[in-house]
Amino acid sequence: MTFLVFIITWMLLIFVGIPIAVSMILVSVGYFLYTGIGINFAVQRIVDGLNSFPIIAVPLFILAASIFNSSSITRNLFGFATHLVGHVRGGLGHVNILASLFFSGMSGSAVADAGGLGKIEAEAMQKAGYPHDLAAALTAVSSILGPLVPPSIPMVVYGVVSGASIGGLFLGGVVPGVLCTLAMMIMLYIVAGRISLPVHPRATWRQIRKSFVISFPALMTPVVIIGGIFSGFFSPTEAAAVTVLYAIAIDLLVYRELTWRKLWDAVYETAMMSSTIALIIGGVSMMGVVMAREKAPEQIASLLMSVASTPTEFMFAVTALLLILGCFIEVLALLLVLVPSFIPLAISLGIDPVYLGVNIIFTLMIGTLTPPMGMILFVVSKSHGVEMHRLIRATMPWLIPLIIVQILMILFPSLILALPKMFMS
Amino acid sequence: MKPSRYSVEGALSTVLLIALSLVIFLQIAGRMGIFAGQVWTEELIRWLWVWMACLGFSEAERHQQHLRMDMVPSLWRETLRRRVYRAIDAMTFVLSLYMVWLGYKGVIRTWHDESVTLGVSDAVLYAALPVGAALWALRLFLRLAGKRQPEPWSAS
Repeated sequence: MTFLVFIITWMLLIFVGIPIAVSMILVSVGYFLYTGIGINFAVQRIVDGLNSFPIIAVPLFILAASIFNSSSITRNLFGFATHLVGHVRGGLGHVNILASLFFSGMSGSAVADAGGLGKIEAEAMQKAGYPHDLAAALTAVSSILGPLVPPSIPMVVYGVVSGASIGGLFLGGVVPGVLCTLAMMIMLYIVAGRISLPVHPRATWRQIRKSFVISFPALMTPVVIIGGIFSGFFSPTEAAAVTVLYAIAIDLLVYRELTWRKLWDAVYETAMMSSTIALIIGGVSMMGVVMAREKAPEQIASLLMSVASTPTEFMFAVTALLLILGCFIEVLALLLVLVPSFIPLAISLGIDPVYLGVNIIFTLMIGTLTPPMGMILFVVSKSHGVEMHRLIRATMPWLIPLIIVQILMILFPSLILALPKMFMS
Repeated sequence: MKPSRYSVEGALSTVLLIALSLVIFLQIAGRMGIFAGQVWTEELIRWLWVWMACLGFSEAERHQQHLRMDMVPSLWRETLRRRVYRAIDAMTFVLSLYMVWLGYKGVIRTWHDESVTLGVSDAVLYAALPVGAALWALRLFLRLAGKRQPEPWSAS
């Protein structure tokens, strides 16, 4: 009963606009004061929760994306995608999706995609006369590719809480990311057959080659990350630092746009954004104490086991639960608070933690597109200037291809596990 | 006077992020045998990260970067929303002061514990929380007192 009141209070605090991290700390402090147990120790958990080496990959991947965003790299990627698919039925819509796939190899965050590349996509699509709502919906939906294709911030966090190989998770996301891209492009192709959408003239080979050459160093980023991790040169955190160095190097040597001022602003912004994530991690660490005291993991486990007895049933049950909760709770909070309670159960059923992790992250990404708490919807609504209710209506049909891909991922684990197994063996 | 885009704690947090990146490169170079690797690098990186994060709480508050869901408040009248947000600021101010106090007690408690590789007291690590919370409280107080705030951060 106390736990139920705890959760409901937390949700109410979020709904009235209290920052998520503050709401977690506030409700946890309230719990400790009410029950009269160990608040001193619980507050210390904020620091203990942060004091982890793998989690430091998060600010570094944010920094790398911020440096990429502050130069013309993003614009060049968009240009390359335009030359490749701008002439296909659906035109700039396909470009939007493909550019997000390219950018996802440099950024591990859907918000970085929606807020950075998303602005360029919005500009281009509005200029070309695309329906406003469709352009915004495509930007929102395609931005979820960011955390699927390496690098990925949610995968780092999942790796920390589950102990799964972060390198394995990175590789596991590649095929679902590509599948997701294809599924969205097929749907767009079908939609574009019904409504007339402007297309670009077909690019010449010379144009394609030129834009490929200029984008090539940026497109190599995931190869640097994965190559570094699997060759044993770097841990994931070190790979993130090397990515920052790589971003600076190609910006200085190839694009030549990085100034000291831009670099300082990118680091400044990253430090600030990372602090907001750190406060959420700290708040979750406090909530974790409450969850453990209230035996929440056991309750969740028994709920799941009551509806699922095989690995596939378990995966569908977890997906359904996270899809519902993802409408109300932020990704990091779910990953850190709830997901750890799934892992022992999954292992006892013989489910691979990498397979579980990629599926969970995919589901949580769908959650960022669903009201009332869809984070990506908020970002895109602001960056595209589209009212929230219109954006929600335009985005909903695009969940269909995502859900189809999710079902395929659950039914065919090799879609996720083939690449990690190949590299790890 | 227009409020500055930057602040002292934001700059400190930025410097710490640069420092931790440099120590990571040192760690990689040490392992690759470019020069003798040091055992303290990983612990130092973690401590720099904790301090960077805690110092950044207040700067994130100044630029209104802390993640919040404003879908429900956006449906309210402007005056009501402003009042609710002011109440939230006041509540967060009290919470941050409480965290200063609890964090201070944590520093006292860990005063005699020594870190594994750095050879200094663990209190240095745990001091990040009360210091960060105190700066956070200060920024909230200034906002509640009517001091002008910078615009929400956007890349220049």
